Amino acid sequence: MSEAAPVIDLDGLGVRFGRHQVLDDLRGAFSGRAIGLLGPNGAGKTTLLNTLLGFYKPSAGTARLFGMDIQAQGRELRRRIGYMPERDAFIAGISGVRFVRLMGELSGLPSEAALERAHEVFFYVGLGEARYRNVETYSLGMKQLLKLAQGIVHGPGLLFLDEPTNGLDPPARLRMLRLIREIRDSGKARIVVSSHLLRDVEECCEEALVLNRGRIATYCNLAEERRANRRFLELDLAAEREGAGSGFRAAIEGLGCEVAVVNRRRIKAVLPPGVTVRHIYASAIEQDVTIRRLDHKRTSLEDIFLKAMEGDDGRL
Amino acid sequence: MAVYDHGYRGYSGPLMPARTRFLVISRYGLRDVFASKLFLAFFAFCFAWPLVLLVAMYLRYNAEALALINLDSADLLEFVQVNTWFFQNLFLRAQLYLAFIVVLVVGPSLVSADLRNRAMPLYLSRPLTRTDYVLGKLVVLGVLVSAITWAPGLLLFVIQASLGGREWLLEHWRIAPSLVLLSAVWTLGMSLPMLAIAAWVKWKPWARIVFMGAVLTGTAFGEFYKQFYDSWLGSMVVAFDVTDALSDAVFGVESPGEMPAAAAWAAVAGLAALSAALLYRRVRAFEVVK
Repeated sequence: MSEAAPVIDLDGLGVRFGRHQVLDDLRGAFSGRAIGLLGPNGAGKTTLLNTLLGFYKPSAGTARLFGMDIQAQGRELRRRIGYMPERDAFIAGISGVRFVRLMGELSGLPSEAALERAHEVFFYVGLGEARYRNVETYSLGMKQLLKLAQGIVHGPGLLFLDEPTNGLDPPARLRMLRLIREIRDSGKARIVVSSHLLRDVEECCEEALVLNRGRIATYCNLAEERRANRRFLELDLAAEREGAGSGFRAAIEGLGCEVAVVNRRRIKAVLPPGVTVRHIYASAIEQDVTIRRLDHKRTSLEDIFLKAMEGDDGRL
Repeated sequence: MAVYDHGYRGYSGPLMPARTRFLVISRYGLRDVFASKLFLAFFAFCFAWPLVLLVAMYLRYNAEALALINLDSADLLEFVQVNTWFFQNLFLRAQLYLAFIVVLVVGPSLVSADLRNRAMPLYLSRPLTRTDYVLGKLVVLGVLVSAITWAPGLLLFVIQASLGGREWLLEHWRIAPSLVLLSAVWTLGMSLPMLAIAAWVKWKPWARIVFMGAVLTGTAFGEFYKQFYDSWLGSMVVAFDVTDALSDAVFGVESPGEMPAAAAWAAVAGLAALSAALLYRRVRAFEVVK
């Protein structure tokens, strides 16, 4: 498994169920620490995850994870992958810790190591006290955490999370997102989160791949988008004296900002490196201009998503 | 990620070989089966008949012990002939009836719960194939059936060989491989259909009823066919007839039935192939709706 290779490398990947083309000619290389898979229901997110896991055979093309082919090296890859399915999935009649231990052993861990890891992951996801309870008695939120626990028990290098916050109440959702961010920041595992909840992806992913009708609608680097947003300013001004507004524009242009005038009281500016909002306020004081409102540009993931969902005629 | 250190960490320790990974499923399956005290009691009961036969074999060669219970050794020698018939009919036939109950009780619980609770994606997202999964489950039934059929059978054979001497061994050596072969074929022929039915029905009691129903319906249809058309072809769907024909062929005795051994082998192979195909259609991570 080459760490330098892209996490996901799609090479004309297509999946067809009968006459229904579910995924069509997906191409691209994605390397983020946490990649969000977005799309409306039926866009092909879960099918893409299942195909990468080897559950479905591609009808065209192929894909590579960390440079390893999903078909030729599927078994070896699955040893390094953790998977949290969307729907309830468990083995009935056994305790939580035994269930997770079994999953660890199936991933190749020796029995004792699997037991040790099972206890550890139970405490890690916050189910430590419930680990000896039968999994059938777990609540919905606990089952979600249990699914995460079985997905990470073998310390995978790549973690597929399919709708990880499904059915969770707000505190449980926050806890799940915190765990995902923690795993991401640990640098021990790359994460692919499939979700139709933009907020979840925005909160824990650095990149987003938007699917629509089985095709890639757009791909964006959320971290860069956030950085770019912070450099873009929209200002509402109140000039105390005649000509102060134009003087202020000239002053910030002098700082190296690109400035666009929307109207007499509103301007937009892009800050160059080294120039901060503090410099803008200083110029305003010098030019005797009051800044009534200062906003960073807010191109949210929702904007990106909606734009990606637009048809050629501009309709959703 | 230690219990006291709530941070995430990967795993870089040793890994078990992939080729034997299916045995993890078998090990957990067996442990679950023996968690039931009722099953444990029944399983212990399965050894009662081999024990009775063992005692009879011992007494047959121990005149002093026979005298203690006022029995004449000549009578017992006459009554208990330890030969092919003894192992084929007196021992194995009885044990296969018990093995049928074991398959009927244990088989559905191995597969149906996994499918009902959507555990297949969890299994198959690991370095495990569908064949590994089925093999893992089959081994559970294989171990249980072996433990009450050929394993005690071989023990009886070894004891008898030590008591009967070299002459007896040379005359009856074929019994040992026959015990193992017939038990193995019978296990495959019964276990695969049971697992296949459990995979499709997904509910244990119903799976048992359907399996029993299939056996009884096959028997009724086969007997009717045999009577109506006066043909052995009906035996192809009668489990007892197939078992008898196979047993006679494997132990090398003349079969009183009309069914040829080749037909019995074909019936078992066909049933196993059909069951495996049905099982493989069900044992997958997700159902593909075309």
